[in-house]
Order: sequence, then structure tokens, then C-alpha cells
Amino acid sequence: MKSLNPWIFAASVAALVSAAPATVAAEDISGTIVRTLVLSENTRLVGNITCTVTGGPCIAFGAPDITLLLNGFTITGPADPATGCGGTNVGTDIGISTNGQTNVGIRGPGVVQRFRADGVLFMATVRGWVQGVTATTNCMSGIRINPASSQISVESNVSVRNGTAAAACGGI
Amino acid sequence: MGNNNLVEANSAIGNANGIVVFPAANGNQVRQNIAVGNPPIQQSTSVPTGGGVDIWDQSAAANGNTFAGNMCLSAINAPCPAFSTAAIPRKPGS
Repeated sequence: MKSLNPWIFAASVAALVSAAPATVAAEDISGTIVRTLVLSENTRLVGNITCTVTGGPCIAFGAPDITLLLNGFTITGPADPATGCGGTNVGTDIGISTNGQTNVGIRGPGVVQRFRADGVLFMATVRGWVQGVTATTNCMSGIRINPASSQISVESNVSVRNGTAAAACGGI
Repeated sequence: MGNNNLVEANSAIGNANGIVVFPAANGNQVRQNIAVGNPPIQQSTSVPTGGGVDIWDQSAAANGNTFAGNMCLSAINAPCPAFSTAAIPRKPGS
């Protein structure tokens, strides 16, 4: 049997290793979400997301110490596409909820828009952050920290056209 | 807003309210934000009783929420800086 040239063999293995996908430490998401997506690990968007979830958040954190990276993409909720909110708020229809998890974060750039409640809600979270996110045309607040949350950093975000006259909500 | 949070370097424009600190909140820092045009003109004229301001501190003064270096034009219980017009170019003779 003809033996393999050790240099060619070594080069082939190296090529295979480099061609193989890198170890994926994060989940990649995009497309349409029809029921609440619960995050259990670091997650990033790899495309825009359209969300048709009602009665709960579109995306909810399900573990502590993880990050959602918007990666320049947009998460769009089911509120009126022409007018943004353009109607009454529905308190359960949140874009992203931290869902009581500790030390979780959301990093932009990226857009969270057209949710009938808050775009981003820190719900009973201790230590968390949202950075570089644009929240627009959500029916309640663009970014809200609920009273049970503490040590949250809201930094370098843009909040435009959120809330309705009926709700004393606002950009942040 | 809950307790001991930091709201820094954000822009809040054209919302029902810009930045709101709720009554039970304490120990929060709101600084270096730009909050203008809240509520948007369209909402103000069509729903005049809706209210809304750029920064609204609904908490008691004893709660220790602080506001520093924010740019706003309307506020309740929070400071908006008095902008100087001295640097605005003026037509000669006016």
C-alpha cells in the first residue's frame, strides 16, 4: 500500500479544521417568531425578525448572564405598520423582556419597533443593560425599567415616537 | 423605573413623554441625555389633554433621584438648562 506523504496529510487536516464551523457559543436567530422565544444562551440576530406573538413578549430571557446582540437588524411587532402604534396599548405584547433574569443585556445597533406594549422591558431584573438600541413606535415605553428592577444601565439608546397620550409612558 | 439605575447618553424624541421616573423609584441617575420634542406636536394638538414633557420625575424629592447635564425643553421636577442665545448669529442691525 502506498503511504501518505506526511506533509500532504498534515495540510489536508489543517484545511478541514479551518473549513469547519467555529465552535458556536451563541444562537443565531432571524425570520418570523410566532410564539415567545426564550433565550437560554448568548444570542444574536443574523437577519430581521417579524414577530406575531400576542399575549406575551416576543423574546424573553430564560437564563442569567447572557446577551442578546441585535447585530444591526430590526425586530418588528404586530402593531399597525402604517402608524406604528396607532391604537391602544396591550400590556402583554412586549418586544424583549428580561423576564426576571439577572445580569442580562441587549446590545445594538438594532431596532425594536411596533410592539403594543414596551419595546424593551426590564422586568424584575437585578443588573442588566441595554446599549445602542433604537426603540420606536411602541405603544408604551421604548425602554422601561419596572419598579422591581435595579442596577440597570440604559446607555446610548435612541427612543422615538413611543407611547400614547392615554399612557404616561415615554421614551425611557 | 426601579432603583439605582443609570440612564445616560440616550436620545428621547417625539414620545408621549421623554424620560419618566416613576413614583416609587429611588437612587437613579439620569444624566447627559437629550430629551426634546416630547410629546410630538401632532399628539399635542390632537389630544391636548394628553400632557407629556421631556423629563418627568414623579418621585418624591427624598427618593434621591438625580438629574444632571440633560438637554430638555420641558420638565416636571427636573431641571432643564437655560440655553444661552448669545452664540446665535444675528442679522446685523437687528
